[in-house]
Amino acid sequence: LTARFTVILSLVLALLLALGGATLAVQYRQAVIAAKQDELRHLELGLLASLHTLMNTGKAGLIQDWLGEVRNHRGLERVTILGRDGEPAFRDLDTLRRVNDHLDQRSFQRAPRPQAAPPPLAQPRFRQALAGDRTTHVDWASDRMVRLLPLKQAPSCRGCHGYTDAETLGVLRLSSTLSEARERVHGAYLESAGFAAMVVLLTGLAAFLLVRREILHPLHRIMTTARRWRDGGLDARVPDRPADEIGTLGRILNDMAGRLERQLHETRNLIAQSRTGMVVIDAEGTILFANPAAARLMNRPRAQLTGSQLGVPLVDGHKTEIQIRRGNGESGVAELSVHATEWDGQPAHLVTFHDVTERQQAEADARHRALHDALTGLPNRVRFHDLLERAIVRAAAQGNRLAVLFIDLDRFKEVNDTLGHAAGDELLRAVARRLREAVRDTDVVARMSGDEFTVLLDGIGDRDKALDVAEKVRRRLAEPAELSSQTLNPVATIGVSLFPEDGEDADTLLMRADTAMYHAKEAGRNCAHAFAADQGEAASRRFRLEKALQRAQANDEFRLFYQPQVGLPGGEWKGMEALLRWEDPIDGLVSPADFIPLLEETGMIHEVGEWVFRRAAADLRRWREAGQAVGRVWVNVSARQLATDDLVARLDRLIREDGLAPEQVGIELTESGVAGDIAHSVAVLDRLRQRGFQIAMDDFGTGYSALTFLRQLPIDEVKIDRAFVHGITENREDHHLIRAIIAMAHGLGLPVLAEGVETADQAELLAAEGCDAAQGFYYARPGPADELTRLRPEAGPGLPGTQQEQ
Amino acid sequence: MGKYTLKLYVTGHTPRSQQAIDNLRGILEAEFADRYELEIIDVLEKPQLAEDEKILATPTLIKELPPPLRRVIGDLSDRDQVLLGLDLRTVGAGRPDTSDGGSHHD
Repeated sequence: LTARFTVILSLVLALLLALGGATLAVQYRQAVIAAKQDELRHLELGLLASLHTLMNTGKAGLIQDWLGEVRNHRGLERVTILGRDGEPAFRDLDTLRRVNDHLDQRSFQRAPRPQAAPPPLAQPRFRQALAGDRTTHVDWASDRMVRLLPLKQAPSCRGCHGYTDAETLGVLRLSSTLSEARERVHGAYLESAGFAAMVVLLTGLAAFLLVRREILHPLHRIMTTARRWRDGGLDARVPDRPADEIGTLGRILNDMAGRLERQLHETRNLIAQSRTGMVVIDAEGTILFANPAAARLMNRPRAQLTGSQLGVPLVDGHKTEIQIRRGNGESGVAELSVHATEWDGQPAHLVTFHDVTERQQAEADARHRALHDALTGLPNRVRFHDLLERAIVRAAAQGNRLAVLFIDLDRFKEVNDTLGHAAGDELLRAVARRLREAVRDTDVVARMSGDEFTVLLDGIGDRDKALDVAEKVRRRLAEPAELSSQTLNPVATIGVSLFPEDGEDADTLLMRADTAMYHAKEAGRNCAHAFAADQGEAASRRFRLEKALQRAQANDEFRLFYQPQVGLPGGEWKGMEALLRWEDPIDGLVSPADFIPLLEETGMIHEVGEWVFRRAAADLRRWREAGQAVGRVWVNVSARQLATDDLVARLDRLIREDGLAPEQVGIELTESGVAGDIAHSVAVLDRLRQRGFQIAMDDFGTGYSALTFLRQLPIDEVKIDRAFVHGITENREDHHLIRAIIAMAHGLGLPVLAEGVETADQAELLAAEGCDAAQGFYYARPGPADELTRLRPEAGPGLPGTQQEQ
Repeated sequence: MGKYTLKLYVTGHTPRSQQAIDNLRGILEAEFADRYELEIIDVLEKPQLAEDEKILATPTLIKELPPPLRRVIGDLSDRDQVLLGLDLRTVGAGRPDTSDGGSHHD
């Protein structure tokens, strides 16, 4: 660029100089001509005037003086007088003198008449002079100047010669050299030309230096810096400059380079510090790049990786697992995936992989935990079931038998209750250990729950063999167990079932082993029994349920749900029915129909029933304190509870100790519940009413439904069973029945509540029939106490049940 | 009819190694029946061999014959990817016919 700029600048300067020189040369010539003309002017005037004088007077003295002057004038070479025809009128000055001499001697003679049309003259300048103009002609080649001056006729001559006004007599021609005029002007012009040239050259030089310093040099520095950037030296910077265009350009480029450097640095850091291994592979499978994590995971120096073959199928999205050596020398697992990408402008594949050893270990642990019992480390119920199913498939294929032992520790609950859970856990661990020792390694020992264990005996010969093993296990378990606090003799009862004789699937085999165990218990514990075909399974199931209910009571698994009751037809809140629920930790909510009869049979209903009243009292107190009026809460009381004398005593104690408020509580009884001993029932109900409880007849229409009941019993409300309500809109009989019940109850002055209302149609029809209140899914499902308060946040005070109005 | 000569490099007798071996045998039995030779090399037992072959990760499967030499790393669970990686099949091609496969590589 510098060279080009220099050439251009030089050319421009040369052009300027040439132009200047040319201009000067023109001016110089003009000056020379002007100087010469000035010099000749008075000579010309004098000559012309003396010529006129000569013509007018014929006296040649004056012109002689002037001719002498002319002769002495430097540079004036020739003076010629030309006639109209362009020919010299006088050949020379001598001729003129002769004319003069002649004129002195003779009188003036008229010249011949001029021709009418003078011949055309070749020289235009001469013609111009003849027309009256003074002309100057310079011939630089011979360095001469020729002046042509028109000779005008004097007015007096006209008369004599016959010339017209317009006609010129002739032309005075003065030819002179320019050399001396040139010499005069020359010095001054040379000086000014030299000065101008110097000015131009100096300006050019200054421009060159300025451009070099301000533009060329900074650009050069930017260029060298940019070249370093290109070659990877992103830390290079353009030197700082004032904030002109180039300085700003440099700063912008610096900023760009800085940002690029930072980004590159960050990206490099990310890749270098990433725990994810990254490898770039070209289309031939050769490694082009590997980050430190890749080297670490593959346990190779990075330099060794580059150029090697990794051997991963180059398919975008491909995933696989590889084994790696971890930092601690142990073997681990890495998950590897392939992504199509570009490298250096070429198609390539990025392979990323990361250590998933811990994650897989955690997953394996979680799987193990899900399938094993934490206390004993044995497989749990789920795992055992799975293993049993597989064993069955195998045994069926190979025609083998297998046996399931169901082992229950006798009186384990006592150990827990008297010695504490720590001792109980210790005992369970000891039992697990002994079971494991008592059977072959190929057999499966599992803990089902609590104090129940199972054993899968694979490939057992027959029933007797299985019983032998069971007996051996029982005896091994019965050996004294040294616990940290004391020594125990665990006693176990074992049931045995056999595949394929007792069942061909896991569930049946387990159930039958369980049944056999139950029968063994009945037969006197601490023994092993095989399943026999005549053994009923219902009893076994009941036995289990009973055990579970005991556990439920101990573990506080019972819940009290509430279902709202509303008035008809308005739908206003009246009260709630309290409903007992059992939330089994494994099976979830258990249907009341499944366990309430058993509670009654086992007598647990007294304890659980009291818990229901206590819970209801607590909830009522909470609602009262929260300012929520929930109306009357109705609690179900079973026949067993009513039949005993201590129901009233229990309730009295609750009123005293738990703040149970009878005026807020209603008691629901079933027809069958009071049917046994009417007199006793009436007496108990009377005592309850005296305390302020209200009584409702539940499930009306399903039991004896004797009219006498309604008349004899001291009750405050009748609840129509859901079975009638269900068909009321479709079934004419149900509709009539309900109408009759309502009429009958109203006849006795008792309000009626319909249970199990599920649709708007049912509610409407019941209201039309005069039913006083309703309850059912249409209004609200039963729910925990907390949910109910959400259901009815606007409940204000003074919402007593309809029953009080009787 | 040429045989397929394959070498599988694994690390130790782990369940993971066994899984890779099982996966590979499944593929080879299904695709090449008795027309293959498989050598299994434990890099813990023969580290020099692994070093010579520049085994970067295990499991690595190397197909020595027929050419071209090809290697596949990973658990060999994806049959198509394994065959593709060994250059024994192009994507989308069907199951190679026995005679065709043999003559093709002879």
